[in-house]
Parts: sequence; C-alpha cells; structure tokens
Amino acid sequence: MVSAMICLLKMPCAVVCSKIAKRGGAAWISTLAYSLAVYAGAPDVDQIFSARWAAGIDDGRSQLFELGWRPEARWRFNDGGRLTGRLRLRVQTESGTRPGNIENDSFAPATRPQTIGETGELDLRELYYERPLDDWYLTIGKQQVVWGKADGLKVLDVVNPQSFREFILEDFEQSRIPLWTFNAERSIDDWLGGDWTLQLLWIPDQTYHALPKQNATYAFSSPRLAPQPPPGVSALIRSSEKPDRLFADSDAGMRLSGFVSGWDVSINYLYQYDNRPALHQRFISGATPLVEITPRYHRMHVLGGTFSHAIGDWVIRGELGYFSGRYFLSNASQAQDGVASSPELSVVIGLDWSGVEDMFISVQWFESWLSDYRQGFTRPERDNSLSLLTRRYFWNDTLQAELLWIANTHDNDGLLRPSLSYELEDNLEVRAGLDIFYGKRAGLFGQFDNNDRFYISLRYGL
Amino acid sequence: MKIQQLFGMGVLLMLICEAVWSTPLPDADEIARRINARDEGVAVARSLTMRLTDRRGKTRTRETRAFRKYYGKEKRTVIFYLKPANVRNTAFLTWDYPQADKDDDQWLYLPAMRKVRRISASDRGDYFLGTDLTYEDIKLETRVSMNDYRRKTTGEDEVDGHHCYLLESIPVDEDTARELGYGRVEQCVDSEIWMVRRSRFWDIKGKPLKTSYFRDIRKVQGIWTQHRIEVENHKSGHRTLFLFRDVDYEHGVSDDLFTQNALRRGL
Amino acid sequence: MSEKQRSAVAWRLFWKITAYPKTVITVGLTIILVCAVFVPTLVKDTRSDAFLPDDEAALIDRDKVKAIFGLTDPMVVAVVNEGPLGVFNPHTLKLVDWLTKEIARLDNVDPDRVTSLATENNITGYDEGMLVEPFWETPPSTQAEANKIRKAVMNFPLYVGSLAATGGEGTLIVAEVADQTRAQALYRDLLALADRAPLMDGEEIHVAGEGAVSGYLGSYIDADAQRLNPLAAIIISAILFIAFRTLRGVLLPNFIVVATVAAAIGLMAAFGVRFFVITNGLLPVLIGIAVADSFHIFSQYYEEQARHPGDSPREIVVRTMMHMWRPITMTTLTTMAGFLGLYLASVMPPMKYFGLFAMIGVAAAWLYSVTVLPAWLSLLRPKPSPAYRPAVKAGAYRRDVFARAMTVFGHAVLRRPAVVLGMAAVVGGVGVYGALHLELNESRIRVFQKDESIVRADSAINRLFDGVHYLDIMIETAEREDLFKPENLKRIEAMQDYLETLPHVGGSTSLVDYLKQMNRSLNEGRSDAYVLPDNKELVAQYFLLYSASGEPDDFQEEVDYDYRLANVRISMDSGKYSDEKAVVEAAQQYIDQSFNASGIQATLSGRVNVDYHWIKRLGETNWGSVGLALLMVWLMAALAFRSIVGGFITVAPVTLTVLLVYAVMAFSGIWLSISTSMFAAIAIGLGVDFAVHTIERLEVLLSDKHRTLDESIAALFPSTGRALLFNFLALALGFGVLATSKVVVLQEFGSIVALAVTVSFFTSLTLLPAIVKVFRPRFMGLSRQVGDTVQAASLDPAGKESKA
Repeated sequence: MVSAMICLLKMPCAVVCSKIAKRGGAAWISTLAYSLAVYAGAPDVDQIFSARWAAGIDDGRSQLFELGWRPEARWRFNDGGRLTGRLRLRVQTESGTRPGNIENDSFAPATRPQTIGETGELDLRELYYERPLDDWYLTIGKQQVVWGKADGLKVLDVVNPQSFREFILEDFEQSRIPLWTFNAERSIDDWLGGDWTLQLLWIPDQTYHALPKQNATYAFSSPRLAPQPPPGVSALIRSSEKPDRLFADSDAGMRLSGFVSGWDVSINYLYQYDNRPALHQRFISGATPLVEITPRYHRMHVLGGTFSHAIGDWVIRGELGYFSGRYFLSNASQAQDGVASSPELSVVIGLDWSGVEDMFISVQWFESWLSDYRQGFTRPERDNSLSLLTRRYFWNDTLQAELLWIANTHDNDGLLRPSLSYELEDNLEVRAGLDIFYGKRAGLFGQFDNNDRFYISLRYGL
Repeated sequence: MKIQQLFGMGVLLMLICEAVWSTPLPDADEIARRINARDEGVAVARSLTMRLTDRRGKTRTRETRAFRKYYGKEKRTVIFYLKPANVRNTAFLTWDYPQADKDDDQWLYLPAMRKVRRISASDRGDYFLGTDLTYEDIKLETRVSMNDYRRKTTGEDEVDGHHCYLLESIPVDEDTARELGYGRVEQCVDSEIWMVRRSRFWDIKGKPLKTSYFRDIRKVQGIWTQHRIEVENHKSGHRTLFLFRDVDYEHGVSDDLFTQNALRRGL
Repeated sequence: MSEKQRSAVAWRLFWKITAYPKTVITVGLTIILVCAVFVPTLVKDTRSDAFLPDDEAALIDRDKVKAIFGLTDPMVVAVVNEGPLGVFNPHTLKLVDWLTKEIARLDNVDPDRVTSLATENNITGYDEGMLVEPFWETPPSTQAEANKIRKAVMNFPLYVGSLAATGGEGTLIVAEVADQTRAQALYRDLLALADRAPLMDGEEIHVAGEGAVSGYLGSYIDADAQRLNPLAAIIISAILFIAFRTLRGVLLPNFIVVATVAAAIGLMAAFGVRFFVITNGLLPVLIGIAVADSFHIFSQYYEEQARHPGDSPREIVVRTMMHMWRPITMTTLTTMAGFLGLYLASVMPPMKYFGLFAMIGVAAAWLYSVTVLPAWLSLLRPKPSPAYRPAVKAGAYRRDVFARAMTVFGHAVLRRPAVVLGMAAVVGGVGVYGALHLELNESRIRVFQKDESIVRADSAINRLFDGVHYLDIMIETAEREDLFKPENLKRIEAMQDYLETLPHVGGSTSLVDYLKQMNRSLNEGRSDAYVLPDNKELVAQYFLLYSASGEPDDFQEEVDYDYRLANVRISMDSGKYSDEKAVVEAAQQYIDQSFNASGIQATLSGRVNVDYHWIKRLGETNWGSVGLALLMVWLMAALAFRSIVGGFITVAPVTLTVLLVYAVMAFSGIWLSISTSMFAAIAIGLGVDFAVHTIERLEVLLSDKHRTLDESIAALFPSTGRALLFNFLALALGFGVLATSKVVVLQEFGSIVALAVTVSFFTSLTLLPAIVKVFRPRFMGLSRQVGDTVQAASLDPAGKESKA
C-alpha cells in the first residue's frame, strides 16, 4: 500500500520536476508568459520565419541550410512599463555551420542558447522590461546595446559580443549576442548648447564572442587570429578560462550622446573584458610535442567617441576608440604564452552620398594602430581597411541591388558582397547574393578564400 | 421660413454675388498664405495606413503611427512603422527648421542595424520609403512651400463637389525643380477651408507625373483634417493610398517622442 | 466545507479519539513495534559510490576498469624514514618485506594484488636478453646491498614517485581491496598491523589511500553520531522540562520522538533502503520536528488548564486540539513540501531518501501528535504546569518570565517595524552576495580533523610521492595486439607527457613506461634509450623476452591479455574537487581533440573521474533543489492560507534563512559540498514551522475585531511566541551539540542548522509582524483603507470645525 503510494507520488512528480529542473529556463519563461497574460493582458505578437541556403562556389557543396522562427511579444503595463521578449529557434543542418561547430563555453549559463539535438538551437534573444522612472528611462533584462556609427566594421560596437559562426557574413542583428544588462538613460537638456542623453550600463553577464570550432566552415586559420603550431606539433585547445564572478567580473559603461548645432556626437566609456579571448599557449615537449592553447579573457578600458553630420547630399560620420590593452598573437620568443598586449587605437571615417534619387553610396576608411607594437606580432602595427557600399532601389523600393566591398590594404585581401533583394509580397522578402573572399591565406578575409558562396534567403513575417 | 434659413439664404446669396462679381481671382500668394495660416493644431498623433499598389495591381500595406509637433516655427515629425513584421520598428524623425538656409535634420532607425542613422536632408524630391509621396510632400503635410515656387491663380474647379481655386506653381529655378522633382504643380484649393483637395504634378520635362486627391476631410477636435490621400503615379502606374485614423490633436504627444532615443526604443 | 463545518468535524474527531484513548494508544504502540522490528535489518552503506545512482556512466566505466585491470581504490601503506639513508637501509627494507607479507595475509586483500618494492621486479638487460627479477629475494642485510637496491629503483623511472619517494624518504605498499564494503574492517586491521610492526627510530608507518578514507569515514561518523544524538535528545528533554516543568511534558514528547524515528527508520529498513553516511543527519532532524508539535500542543494544553482549572481532562484536551490541529497540520504539510522538494530535485540516492524519509517522519510525528498524544493526555488527570498559573481573573493565566520576555520583545518589534524591514533587506542582500560567492568543492579527507592519523598519512604520502588519488584512463584499440603498434604507443606516451605537466599530477603509469624501461635495459641502461621501440615486432619481442623471466600477470594492471586494452593510471597529490576538475577536464579535452582516432579510443575512469562527475552534478542540481523546496513550501503555504501573498510571506523568513546560511558558508570558507548541499533544504524544512505558526496565530488574533492591530500582534508574543522560543531553543541547542563533534562535517552541520533555526525564529517573530503591520496583507482580513480612514478621520480638523 505504502509503496504503491510512494510510487504514485514518485512517478508523475518526478517526471514533471526533473523536466522543470532540466529545462529550468523554458519553465520559467512559460510561467512568466502565463502570469503576464493574466496581469498585463494579451501581448502584441510578431513572428518571422526565415530560410537560408548557401552553397560553396569553389566546391559546389552546400555550406549552410537554416530554417528560423523568431517570435516577438510585447506586453504593455498601465504604468508605462513594457516587457519585450524575443525568441529564436533555428535549425542548421549543414555540418560546418551547425550549433555543435560553434564553441558555446564562452556563454554565461543564463545566456547560453539551448541546443536541441545536433542541429537545433533555441535562444532567448531578448527579454527586457523598460519604463520611464522620473528623469530616467530604465531598460532591464537581456538586450542588445549598440554603439557606434560605422557600417560593417566594428569599433565601438563592442558592448555585446558576437557570434562568428559565419565570420562577419551573418546579419549583425542575428550574430550579436544580447546580454543581461541594466541600462539606465537620462536626458540632460540644454547643456553645452545641446540636448544630451546619459546612458549608464551595468552588465553582470560573463558572455563573450562565440567562435567557430576547429572543424567549422568558418574556423579561423589566419595567423592573425589562430596560433600556428610548428609543423609536426599538434594543438590542444582547452576550454576557455572564463571569468564567472557575477559582480566582480561584470562590465560597466557609460555613454554621453548629444545633438549640438547639427552634429550628433557621443563620448563612450566601457570597462569590460575584451570579448576576444587571448589565446595563451604552452609548449609541451616530449616525444610528441604539443601546443596547449588556453583562451583567457582580459580586462580593458574602452574610451571613444562618435560623430555624424549631414551637409547637403553628404553625411559624414566617424568613430574613434581607444582600447587600453588588447592581446594579440605574437611569435616573438619573449612573448609569454604566445600572446602580447598593446593598447589599440581605432578610427573609422565614413562618407555617405545620396545625391541621386534611389541611390546610396558610402565609403569608409578604417585604421587601427597598436601603440605598443613589438616585433613578432602577427598583425601589423597599422592596419588599414576600406569599404565601399553602393545600393540602389528600384520599383518603389521593392527591389534593392547592393554591392559591399571591404578591402584590407595591408594584406591586399578583401570581401565582395553583391546582392539583390526583392519584396515578393508585403511580408515576403527574397534575397540572393554572392559572398566572395579574395587575397592571401594569411589575411583576415583571404583565409576564407575557399569559402566563396552563393546564397538565397527567404524571410516571411506574420 | 425661419430666421436661420433666411440668414442662410442671405449668406448664400452673398457668396454667389461674390463669385459672380469678384471676377479677379484671389492672389495666388494670398491663397498660399491662407493655406499655411490654417490651424493645424500644435501637435497631432495619428495612425496612418499606407497602401501601395503597383501597375499589376499587387498591393503592399504598412501600418504606422505618426506624430507631429510645432515648437514655435520649428516642426518635428516622427513616424513609427508597426506592420508588417519585416519593417516593424523602422522609424523616421525629422526636425524641420523655419530658417530657409538651414537644412532639416533627419534620422532613420533601421531595426536590422539597431542604429539611428543620420540621413542627408536634401533628398527631398526622393520618394518616401517606397510611396509615391516625396520626403517634401510628407514634410509639408497640408501646407505649401512659400519659397520654392512662383505661383499664380489660374481658375476655378470643383473636386468631390467642393469649389476650389486652381493654383499653378512653377519652381523658382531649375535647381529647385530638379531638387523637388517637379516641373509644374497644379493644386485645387478648397475656397472655404483652404485645403488642397487635389494636386497634379508634372516632371521637369513637362510630362504628367502624378495626381493626388485629399479626401474624407472632416473636423476633428475643431480642426479640418484629411483622412485619405490617394496618389497615382502616371509614369510608373504605381498608386499610393494613405488612410489616417485615430487623429488626436489634444493628447499624447510627448516631447520625448521626437528624439533619437524614442526612435531606438520604438512605440 | 465552511470553517464552521470543519471545526465541527474536527470536534467530533477529537471527541472520538478521546472516547477510546486506550485503543488509540494500543494501536499507536503496535505500529511503533512493527516498525521497530525492521530496524535491525537496516544495512549500512558508507561507500562514497553510494552517492551516485547505479546507472551513472562514470561509475560503470570505473567498474569496467576494475573488472579488466583489477584496479580499485586501494589501501596505501607508506613506510617513511626521513633519516639520511631514507628507507634504503637494511632495517627499513626488512620492515617493508615483512609488512608486504603480512598485508597479503590479511582478510579482504587479494594476495596477488599487493604491490611494493618486495613484490615488484627490476628489469635489466644482458647480452642474451632481458633479466626480470625481484629487487631482492631476501631483504638485504648490509648497507651496501641496500645501496644497490636504491640505485636499481632510482634507475627505474616508473617506480620513482609511485613506489619510492623521489628522495628515497619513503616507499609504498599498495593493496587492492577485494570487497569495498568491508574496507572499514581492513583499515582497522592495517592500523593494528602498523602498531605491531617493529619500528626503528625515525621510521613511520602511514595508512592512507581512498580505500582507507572511505573505510574510516563510515566508522568515524557513526561513532560520533551515536555519541552525540543521545546528547541532543537529553538537551531537548531538558528544555521541555524548563518549558513545562512537568513529567508528562517531558515524557510524552519523547514518546513521539520514538514513534517518529521508528516510523522513518523502520520503513527505511522495510523498503530495503540503506543507511548512508548522511542519514546520520536525519535523526536530529526527526527529533527536532517530532518535538516541535509537542511544544505547541503542551503550551496550549497548560494555557487551557490555567484558564479553565475546573474542566474535565477530556474537555481540556479537545479544546487544546481544536486550537492546535490547524497550525500543526499546516506546519506538517509545509515541512513535508520542503522535503518533497529535496526528494524530487536530488539525483543522489542518499539525498533523495533523506528527503523521502524526512517526509515520512514528519507525517508520523503529526499523526501521533493528533491521535496518541490527545488520547494519552485525556487519560491523565489535569495537573497544572508551574509555568502556567491561573490568574485571579477567570479565563486568564499568569505569564511566566519567558512569556514576559517575549512580550517585551514583541513591543520592541512593533515600535520599529521599518527598522526590522530594513535589517531584513540588508540580510537578504548580504545573503545573495554570499550565495553568489559560494565555492563548489569537496575533499573527503577534509571530513577528518587535522590531527587525525589518516589526515597526517594523506599529507605525508602526497608530499613524498606522486599522490594516491588516481585517475584511470582506459585505452581501447580495435584488434588484438594493436597495442604493439608504435603509433598507438606514441599516442599514449604523448598523452602521459601532456597530463604530467598539469598541476597536482604527480606522475603516470602505463605499459609505455615498462616498454621504455625494457628498451633501456637492452641498450646498456643508457638513459637516452629510455624511449619507445619503434616497430611493432620489437614491442612484441620485448614482451616475449620479459615473459621468459617475469611472471605472466605482471602487466595485468596495465594491459589486458590480448594487448587490446590498456590502462593509464594518473596519480594526483590532491583529492580536492577543484584540483580534480582541472585535470579531468584537461584530460577529456586532450582525449577528444588529440587522442581519439579510428582504431584507438580513451575513456576516463577511476575514483577521480567518478568524484568529478558526481560533485559536478551536485553543483548543477543544488540551486534547483533549493528552489524547488522553496517553491513547494510556497505552494503549500499559499494553499493553506488560500492566498498567494500568504505563501510569499510564509516563505520570506526561510528564504532569508537560506540566504544567510549561504552567506555564512561563503564568508567562513565552508564549501558547497555533499554534506553542506543539504543544509538549505533542512533549514527550510525546520525553519518554515516558525513562520507558519506565527502567521496562523496572527490570522486568528486579527480576526478579533475588538483589538487594534498593534494589540493583536502584541498578543502573539506571550503565547505562540513563548512556544516558539522553546521550540527554537530545543532545536538550536540540540543541533548545537553536533558542533562539538570530532567530524568536521558534523560540526558544520550542527552549527549551520542551529544558526538556521535561530535565524528562522527571529525573522518569523520580527519580520512577519513588521510585514503585517506595514503592508496589512488582505488575506489576514486587513484592508489598507481601514487604517487610512481612521487616520483621516482623526486628522480631519474640518469635521470638528464644521460642528463647532
């Protein structure tokens, strides 16, 4: 009798509760959604379905196939508060770009996407509550904070880390990794002859760049990014030594942005762990020598500013960032662990022109300088890139043709991205294009010379 | 016959007399001034549905919420896209200064970029986000530009049963014409409420470009308000329909809406 | 069913129970006896493996290695001589020889599996081949012979660090244990042997190793618990006496304790659930819970007697029960809910069963408290307690010193509710901070006090040798004799080379080391020949040559008969989880990335790997189990008070308690480990009673509309407050006794639970009244408007003026 009772009690409860314990996140979300439905009424819901397929041009093999579902819900409260939640479910079937090919050690447990089998991935992209409070505007929760004015190349857009699953080919909106953030903004009017906003950020989320694993299609191989063990020496990549103290290892930052006599300007400061890990190396001699590579993260200060201004048909914009100490690979013998640090100064100046109807042309000049450059660094002291973007709209903006060209002038390599996108229906967008890398293997873009691809994608909104 | 009816007859008579006897049509600049002097309310909030139809009859619909507010003579306008999901959260902000020599400041927020982008203001003859209205058309709303055109009153007409004056405007010079994209504009201005009920546009080469109708004009909170704009582009065969709903001149237009922060946060 | 109907049912029930008191008592006694019959069949299980579910992969892998290579958690006996000659002198080597033989003779030791300098072979080469012979046939009698042995051993890199200390200060005798469940007895035998050993000056014998630790652990904890649990019972009885100052007030609660323990432990035995090391902690928990219900029933019983001195015993008992059945049932349900959370969320069987049988015990305590206790009391002639004397005024009673103290305490709380709330917020903040800084770690040796012989043995051995914490790596190849292939051997060698660079790894042993030694022996002992032979045939021939003079089973710990499977044993000098974790993770990453290939696979195994897996699991599930326990308590309380807010208020004190427990652990450097991971769940189970009693009584007091809010709250303190005070003292002192234990884990257990009970008591009696006063929760029948309108009316001068 008693044992029967125990069994009865055990079976369903154990099943349910172990599920709760295992799928803690999902349970919390559904509980939250339910209580919100009760207290805040029905949410506004949007959802986007997407499909993407890419094939390698060099080898003709399928490189990526992805199906995605991205629902978004917003609840409004009577006090002016608002809760926004975004989920992303995607299935990636091609072996070089599946979730398993991307290192997910670099995520804090509360931020890490849930993998489903070999190919599926469920990610709580964003979940934040925002509301004005006196002179402040608070946004609390998992969110993206985007800084900077540059397109395609990032200088100050470093608040959130990024997934390099498809190097830089994936849309930044999708590749950026939202973090649990406390974001407070406050307007300061009529100060220095303009309107200003102060933004304070506190990010108790130890999540960093998600980098492709060795077997991934877009695994790094350029000596700039990947250590090159001598011939005959194999490499052992350890899991990263990630900071994990919630408070002590959190990032904090502020931005003061304003509009002064026609100029948008901002001053930015961030105290953070560099999202790029430093790849510390240890040589193990013996009959079969080995290099042990341990990714570690280092603190740095980021100080910078941005501006943009429109004159006639032109918009000029720029961004400057100073990074107090970044780690770079170095093969100098005195470089400890194969890495060495240097402050980095990065600048980007962009010029947009829209003098002709339905036409947009933009050029950017990008320069990065290491102030403490030493012999042996695998990247140059001064690194310079140029980008050109031309875009033209046809048929009342339903068809858009675009060419993006990014070139690194130091390595003479680059990336060409022509594409066409067409709005087939109100809610249905088709896009096709080419991503072509060129240049030497050692270069940032040249390393993917064999990855040139053709792609086609569909996006359907509901 | 009641006193009121008598009175009404009298007014009608007077109007007819005026119409018959005052043969010299009102001065075009005077009409333009009257158009611009019309009460538009300091601020307005409204929902705007844009329906775009191409030559083959395929239709796209966008739902937006738009706000406008005057700060003295400076005017700020913001439009937030709500639907469809593909363009949701796209937002467009303009600060329009009274000084003729000062360009507008314009920002566009694209959710895919998560960035507020400064855009140059001089593309005012460009079509606004795929519609048949130009940035300039959107910005002017029911008003007319005083400095860009030389104009004259060319006659009278009737639109949807309302009497109106025909106003012909020619850009002051070729540069302005190129900038605006129009070689000639003919507007039909309601002689009672001083609102444009129809506009016809010709391109720089003098070919018919497009025709707009401003319809469903009724008073909201004491202010004459157009609720429907129909535009047909004769060159492309593309048509645009703007439908305004929930127009409100009195509530809910916070200054905070006209900021880059608001663009970023969305509605 | 309305409140009134329910009371009517309860009244009839208690009236029935007291109508047949003797029957009820007899049935109660019979059940105790039936349960007690099973107690002797209880099986003890002190193995650390018992913490893992039987289907755990790490455990299965370990057992596989055990089956193939005969490797277990061995007993390690170290002979240490820190004199100038080290152990390499005739006397010490003779001692080693003697010990080796004696150990092989012990019960539960496989005589073929004792490894020492006396059993191992030296490999030397000569012109015709290889000579495999023991280091000595008979122990050396001269120092010169001893020196020769020293030279031979030190020339054999495989033995340096593993069998002999690098500096020669010690040597090990390693004995594989045949039956791990009887390790306790073997450890005792070894200690006895060490005592008997003829020792010279400077010689020392240490007994250590995982086998010894797990063997000792059981007896060590058992002995201490058996000493301290009765002491706890005596202290609790003393407090019962102070509270009620009557014999029945001491004996009847103890009867309930017996019933509770008998039910829980008897059922455990009946269902074949084993008594694990941590089950020792269940006993004080059961005692504390069993006694808690009695404190409240007796308080009410004597209060009723003092108020109505002339009533019949049956009337007094039924009225007492009418007051108390509701709060007692509620505390029982909430406590059970807390332990249900522990039961559901734990993966380790000992903790699961702890939760389950704590639930059963709580249920039994409740059942006896509402049946046998009233039945028994109704048989006894009312005898007032000296602590509750009737007052002059009828229907009242005089308050003793404890009740008066509680009254003063209550007034202090009511005067400064904001201060109370503020302090609670600060405690909560500190708790969250602490909880986030809690370190997950475990080290079995830490269980013992620093001066225990086993601790000294462990540190001595880990200092002088490579270490006695073993990580085994099982190598599996596709075909027989694949291990002769140089590419496979090179892979193993490279892995050993890498792993030996990791911190806390002392050394490693595999057939690769033997092959290198053989290669060197056959190359005139040149040290540059300490390398692997580079072709398959040579390897096969080496083994053939070896077998010509060596024993056929000399390599059974390193390789299987078919040369298809091999074992690599990594020695670590630390048994700390954080150190083990680093090595296990590095090894796994190496295996995945650099080792595994088609035709050769490696699998981690051994004690270190097993520990890593289950302690990691503990860290992953701990927060879930605490969260689930809190959730269950909340749910139960919300149902009991029919209010979601009521649930939250009930959970508030235990939440603070849990946070504070974590904070204290974090700040005092107590790790989140096997034993301490249960603190939170126990604290919840014991602590929630204070909150439930407080809220239940406040609800009753507040329903009396003749009193103001402050008066109602103040009335809580002398009655329920006094009962809770004694309940708290009994638990705090009862568990406090455990803090005097010799076992570090029990010390921590006792002091932390005592602290938790203290915090629960104080927060329940300060925070809850403050919350009620400040927030006026609606479920207690308070409306926020009442206070406001009262204030508004009294502050409305307009009303007075208009009248004037």
